[in-house]
Amino acid sequence: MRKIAKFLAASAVVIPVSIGMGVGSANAWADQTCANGKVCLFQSSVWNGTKYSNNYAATYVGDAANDPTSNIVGYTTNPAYRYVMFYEHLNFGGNSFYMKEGQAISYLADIAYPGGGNWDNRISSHDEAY
Amino acid sequence: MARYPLSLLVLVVALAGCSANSQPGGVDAASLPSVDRAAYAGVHAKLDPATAIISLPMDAYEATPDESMVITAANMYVIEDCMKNADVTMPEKHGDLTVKADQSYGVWVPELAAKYGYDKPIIRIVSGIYDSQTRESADANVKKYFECDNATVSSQIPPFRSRIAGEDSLLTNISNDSNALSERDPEWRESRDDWITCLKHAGISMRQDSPDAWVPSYPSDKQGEIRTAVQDANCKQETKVMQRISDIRAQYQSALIAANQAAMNRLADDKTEALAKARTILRQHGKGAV
Repeated sequence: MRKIAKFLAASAVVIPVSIGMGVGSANAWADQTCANGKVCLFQSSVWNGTKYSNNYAATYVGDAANDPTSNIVGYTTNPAYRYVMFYEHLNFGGNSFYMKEGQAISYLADIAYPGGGNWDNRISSHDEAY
Repeated sequence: MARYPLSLLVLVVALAGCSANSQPGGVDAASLPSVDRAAYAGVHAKLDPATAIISLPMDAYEATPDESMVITAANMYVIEDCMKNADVTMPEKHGDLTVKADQSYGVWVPELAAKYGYDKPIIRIVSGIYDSQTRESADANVKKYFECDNATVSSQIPPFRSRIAGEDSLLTNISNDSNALSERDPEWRESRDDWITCLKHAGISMRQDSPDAWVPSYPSDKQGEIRTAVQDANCKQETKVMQRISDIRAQYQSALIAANQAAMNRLADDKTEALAKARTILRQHGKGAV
């Protein structure tokens, strides 16, 4: 597991993005933030497109936010729940993966789906996780 | 509520080993290992209706809720030490952990369905260990918290958890592969079809917008939801679908664990060692009784 920690440390990159600056082809006016205690989903890559924001737990992200392409997990005040579990189906069902508070994925296609494929256009619900 | 620019957050980039498919959202079984679970037919998952917990072989290598609380608390102190060195107060951090029913494949305990419908009930509470003693989270403090979290990763106790986004680990590979193999197993489909047929006979249909989900269509009012949930759980019992699909998962997990036994043994040793280190950190901060 030490190898995993080192791998994470080496692979995690803090990106210089802030409101108004944008990155790559990102919309310069997009709200690319996520408030404390919230999960944010975006319909386009690099945190663009329609934004969804909700508490760590949601049985269904709703038709408008369903199957996002990028996401962010905001800070949590409860250390017991440093992770959010993202699920393939509503009501916390099907395949799933974790993200830690403060993590942001610019393109969910970069996250492998069990057995092949990826997580782009797959998230339907999310829950706080230990 | 405070909001933070993305510069405060950590990006998980495309990672070697993630094997992102060239067909977005597509499914390609070519990357799955060839596994014959017949040799593990004697392995069974343990389903406990009283706690709504499903126990599988991989659980031994992942942190339990209680272990996770110890690990997280230790890591909070590691981050707090970094914050103190920077003369910045930790933002608000405190709280218990509520352990909820395992409903990855929907409701399956009739008694819980009758009480909570499709909501995930809380089974027990693990008391919190760490408390920052502050009750506000100013932007600057949260910003420093994330900086310290990143800066101290190598000193923190690993979470011993599979399927963390961006983490390429044996735990994740076995978890993902066993799930994918299970879902492709003919007996998995047969078990699921038996459950769906039972629901159909009871007048319950699958959701049109999510036909692969493990929750059927149910009325929007709570009483209607509970009626459907109870019938759903009864169908799960009648068809034994939960035991059947959980056994399939358990058998694929066992086969994959055996194929990587030496590495898994090292992982188990690492976990024991890491928990001892976490408890040492807690003792150093006056939390000796956990």
